[in-house]
Amino acid sequence: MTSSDGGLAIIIKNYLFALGAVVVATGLAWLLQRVLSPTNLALVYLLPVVLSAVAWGLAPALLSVLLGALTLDALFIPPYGFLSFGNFQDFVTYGVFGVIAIVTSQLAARVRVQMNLARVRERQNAALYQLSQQIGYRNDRGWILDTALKACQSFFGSEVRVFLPNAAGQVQFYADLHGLAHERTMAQWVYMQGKLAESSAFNGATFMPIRTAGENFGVLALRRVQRDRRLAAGDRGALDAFAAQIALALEHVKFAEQAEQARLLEASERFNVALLSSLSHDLRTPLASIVGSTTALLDDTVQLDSAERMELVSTIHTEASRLNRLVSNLIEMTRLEAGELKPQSAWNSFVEVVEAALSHVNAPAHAMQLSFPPDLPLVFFDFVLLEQVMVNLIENMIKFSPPGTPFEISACLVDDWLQVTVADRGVGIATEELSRVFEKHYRAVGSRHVPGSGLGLLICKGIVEAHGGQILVERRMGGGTCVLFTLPAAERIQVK
Amino acid sequence: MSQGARVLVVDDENSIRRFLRTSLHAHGYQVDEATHGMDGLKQFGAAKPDLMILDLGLPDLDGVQVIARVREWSRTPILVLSAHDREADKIGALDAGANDYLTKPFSIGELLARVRAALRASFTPDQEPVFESGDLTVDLARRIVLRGGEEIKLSPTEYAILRMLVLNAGKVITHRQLLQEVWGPAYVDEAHYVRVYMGLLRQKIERVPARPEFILTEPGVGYRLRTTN
Repeated sequence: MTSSDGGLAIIIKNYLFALGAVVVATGLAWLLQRVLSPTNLALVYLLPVVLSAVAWGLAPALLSVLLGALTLDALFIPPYGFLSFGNFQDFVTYGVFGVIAIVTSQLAARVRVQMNLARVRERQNAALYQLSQQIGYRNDRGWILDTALKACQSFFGSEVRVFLPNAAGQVQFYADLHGLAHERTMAQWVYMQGKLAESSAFNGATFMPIRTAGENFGVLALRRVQRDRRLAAGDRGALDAFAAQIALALEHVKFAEQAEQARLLEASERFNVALLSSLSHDLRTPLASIVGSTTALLDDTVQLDSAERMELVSTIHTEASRLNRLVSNLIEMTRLEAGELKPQSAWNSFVEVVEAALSHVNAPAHAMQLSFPPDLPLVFFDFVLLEQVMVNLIENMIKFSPPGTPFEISACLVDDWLQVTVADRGVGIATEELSRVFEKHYRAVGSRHVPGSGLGLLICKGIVEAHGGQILVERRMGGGTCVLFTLPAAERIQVK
Repeated sequence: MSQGARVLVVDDENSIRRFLRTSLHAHGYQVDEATHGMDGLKQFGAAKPDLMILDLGLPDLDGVQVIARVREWSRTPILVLSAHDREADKIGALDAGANDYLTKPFSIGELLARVRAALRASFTPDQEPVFESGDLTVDLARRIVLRGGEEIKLSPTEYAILRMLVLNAGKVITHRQLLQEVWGPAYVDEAHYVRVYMGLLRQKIERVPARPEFILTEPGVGYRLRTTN
């Protein structure tokens, strides 16, 4: 983990420390020479040897053996001031010192390696833990990859790249425009094989598959900054751990997406079942009336006077019209669901929309209070879709209002919006139900006895929003319901 | 001419043909039927009907193709049947030369009104320069418009629009036709001109513009002047 310059400085420092330790031991021996025999004084010199071996390594330890032996011989063994080395006993002592230096330094070196490894592991674990905290439960691929790339880069201090497969299974650089073709080839191999690979190009690069037990998500590549260094075993383990962490997060995203898809599918199926059951009711009721009335008309044995005959025929007419409207709504709904509702807008007169809508429904003319300012400008919208909105709203008013109560339709310009109000004095909607009227297939509690698909308001909302407008339903002061919607009208068209 | 006229119905739907046959028969028309476009064209050449009722959704030929083939050599009125939300089809058929259309489902009242309007020769001001519908009177010779006996002042453009509708009373007039006639060929794509001036015209002649008595909106297509019968 250290650069060579720093290494040399440390080595010199280690020798100086060993030298210092021998000096200190010599001072200690000087103090103790009156109470200890020279043989025992030698034990004092064992202290710098052991200390050097543990703290600074074998070479400084051997230096302290040598220095210790020389100092002991010169200062404490007669003749003082001269090296004698005449004593075989002393040689044995120094030999033992040397062995102690070697064994101790070896043990200490092993401990040091373990400590370094533990420190590296701790750093790695901290980095991985932080990464997992950051990317663990985010369902955003881009964010996960960006965060992981940053974390790897700061951990390894090297260039890190990610390769992701495209739909065809070909890996591509992720967010990297300067990648090289051969790196991609290498990454492709790693992605296909699911195995680690190292390349000697540049200063050496390592390609690690990003994979879980079940799936291969891509490749994480580390390019060395330093020359001639293959990835150390510990670093390779760290890279593997980072890759695994990224793979887990990506797998989590994938599972979350699958779960969401399944949920949507289930919701859509539930809706379809509900729709089908309600539709079969809504379709069958008018059909039953029509079939019943026609059999009565066709049956020779049934004696009908002309009034009865007329009543049956008008029933058939009413019910058939209802079926027709139901089918229109279903078609609109299908388009909305399929995302095919794209307004074909033109400059239109809203008054004409109201006219067309009123001609489709059996609206009692006297009860309709219409108010449109004479200078209402043309607004840009799809005529047919807005006609559908007005038909649905007017039909709702008629369905949910007692006969004889007034209906109000008005439109005016408020700032840059055309604001349309459709209001009745009917049964009204409870406050707690107001927020639910736009839900798929929702029918207000008070309205469930009235036939209908519950699609009308939802379709209105879809159409109004497709135009960039808003729609809301309110309770009216004094009873009844008011539907209010807006269409953007900031732009005007000039007529010469 | 209307009574006893020959009508050729071209529609692949059996029930629609039956409804048309029964209703038209009951009102004194002679009815020929065809289920396909090719068959319809053949019968059209052979039977020389006074009116063709043509469904736009035929199995073999596009309705517009049938209209174009007929228009190559005949000016016989053509009435097309179309679904509610197919405005583009209706306009396409009218541009190709169809005279009018009916949106399915339609009532017998609408059917007979369209048939009568289509069979009637264009309103001929030479013989009768005054058009009346309800309490609306348009005197083309004197350029006077009265409602309930009171004169209504119209601008030249408003009067030009009304005049065009009167000349084609009961028949649909497309935005394009109005633009071409009133503003000129350079304006045929400026549909908003028609809408603005129609709004002004209606405010003068209709009591409730959103529930017009005289000039009816044909959604996405154009306008139609209602005739009394």
